[in-house]
Amino acid sequence: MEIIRADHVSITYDGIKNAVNDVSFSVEKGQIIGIVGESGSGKSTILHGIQGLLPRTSARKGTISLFGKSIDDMSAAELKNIRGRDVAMIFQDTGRYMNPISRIGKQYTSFLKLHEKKSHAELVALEKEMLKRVHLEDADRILHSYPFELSGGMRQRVGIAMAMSLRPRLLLADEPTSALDVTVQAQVIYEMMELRKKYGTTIIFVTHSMGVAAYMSDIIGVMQSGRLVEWGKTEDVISSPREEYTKSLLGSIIELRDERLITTI
Amino acid sequence: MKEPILELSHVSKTFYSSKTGEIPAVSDVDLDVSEGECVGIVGESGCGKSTIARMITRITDVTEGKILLEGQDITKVEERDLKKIYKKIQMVFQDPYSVFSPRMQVGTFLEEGLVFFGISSRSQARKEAETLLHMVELSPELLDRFPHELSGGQLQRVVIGRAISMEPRLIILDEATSALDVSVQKQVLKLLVKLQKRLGLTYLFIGHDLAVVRSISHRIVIMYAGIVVEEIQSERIEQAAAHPYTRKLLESVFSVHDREKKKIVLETLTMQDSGYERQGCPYQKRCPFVYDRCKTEKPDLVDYGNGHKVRCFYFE
Repeated sequence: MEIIRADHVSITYDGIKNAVNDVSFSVEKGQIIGIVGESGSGKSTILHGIQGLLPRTSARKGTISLFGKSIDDMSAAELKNIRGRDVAMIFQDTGRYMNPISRIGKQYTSFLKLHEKKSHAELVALEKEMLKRVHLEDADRILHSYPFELSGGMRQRVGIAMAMSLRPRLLLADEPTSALDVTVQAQVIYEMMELRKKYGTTIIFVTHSMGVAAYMSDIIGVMQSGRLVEWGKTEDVISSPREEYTKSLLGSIIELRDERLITTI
Repeated sequence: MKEPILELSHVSKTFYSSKTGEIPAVSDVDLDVSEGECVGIVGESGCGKSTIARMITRITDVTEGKILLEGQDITKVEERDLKKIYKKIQMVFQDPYSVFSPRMQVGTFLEEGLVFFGISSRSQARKEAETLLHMVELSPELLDRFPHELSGGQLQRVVIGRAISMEPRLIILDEATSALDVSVQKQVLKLLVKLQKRLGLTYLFIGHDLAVVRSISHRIVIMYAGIVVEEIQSERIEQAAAHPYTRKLLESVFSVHDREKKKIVLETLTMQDSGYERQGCPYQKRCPFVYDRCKTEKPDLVDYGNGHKVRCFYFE
């Protein structure tokens, strides 16, 4: 089943003409897609475009379809219902999108209430269950904390728990591990991979790390100044990239097994 | 063995907060850097690596310990004499934009330091600034540009140019390439290595990306919760690193080549996993090999020869 289809999508945004430039792709159910590129390549803009979350000042050409229906044909109410329930999003630093002066439990519950008609007690039970699933201990204490009291890795796991509470069909993740410490990054990647394993969630994530993209995704898309220059199976993109740009990106990665720069220069 | 340019002995920094009491940001750190060497410090956020840089540059005072720069204890230097130290130690930060005044042209930025420290006269400074740009592989046309007209990579090169213009004894690079795009990062790292070889510079390179730090450093110091847990020659890190935390860091690196092979070991996160333990080893809560002894005694940093030091009972 086709989850997303982008047809010749161009987006002018923030005064940047064609921040996304004539991009087309299609994503099947259960696929994990990694979109890589350098800063300003338009990779985050694409994610926002999929959700119909771009500011009013932006302009889009081409069509984006979600679950077989163009988002332009959806009413505002329909789109609102899809967001959060069918399509969830996690950001680079989930903490920044939380209310700093409201306890996590309160924010979590008010989010769930938007979509679920359940009693307060049932919602709290769901919250605890989800926190446990992303391997956070002492759920009670976390729900009673303010966002700043948690470490970045914990907040990010809370973000994943919240995003997954309603069993979305599609998870969009914008640099979900970039703000995290390396040992925690691995943990968050694990949680995201588990989602597909358990629920068949389709995931599209944006990253600047080729290593992370290679590890997580079935398909890698490479963006360069608004264009989707390469799109293919991860193995193929890594071992035999077609585009010069992809080759240069791969050539710039510094790996543990490489000769060190101090010995080669 | 050459005389070290920089020597930290038993350096500690404790912050105080009314809520949590004493926070030992850096505890009893010994570190030395020799002439022409690049020593890397690796660790995660909050491990104290930047606090070390801030103490060496006297942005923050030490709570205990000595910091010797060519034999002189800089923690004792009076405020009015700090200018001499600032010339000898230069620092490059993560975000080059934060270093510039937005209204200062690149040329002025470079000339200012030269004139202030009396390295060249005002009339010669322009010429000197041009030479510096050339050394960091930038076009002299950039002298008249403003910071916002340059890319992050170009701007970081300018900052490096200003740092070398002081003919410093030591350059501290604190996450100096972390904010740059990958292709730019590699270029800047190459430039740093070239400059080091050409000018005999001495670096202290602080970073969170083990692969990057390994690539540019001769020796690596690994920190966890304010403590040095391991010190090792960078070429041996993959094979010989022994501390469970260092191994964890190595495992956490995602390479484009280990797609299928890699297994992630899951850790449950609690709200008390800070590592600032009152008793025993700071890594005890996360360590897969923890003994009873680790919970009560603090291990020492033991020298195993060949520049390899490990602070772990399991390895002893």
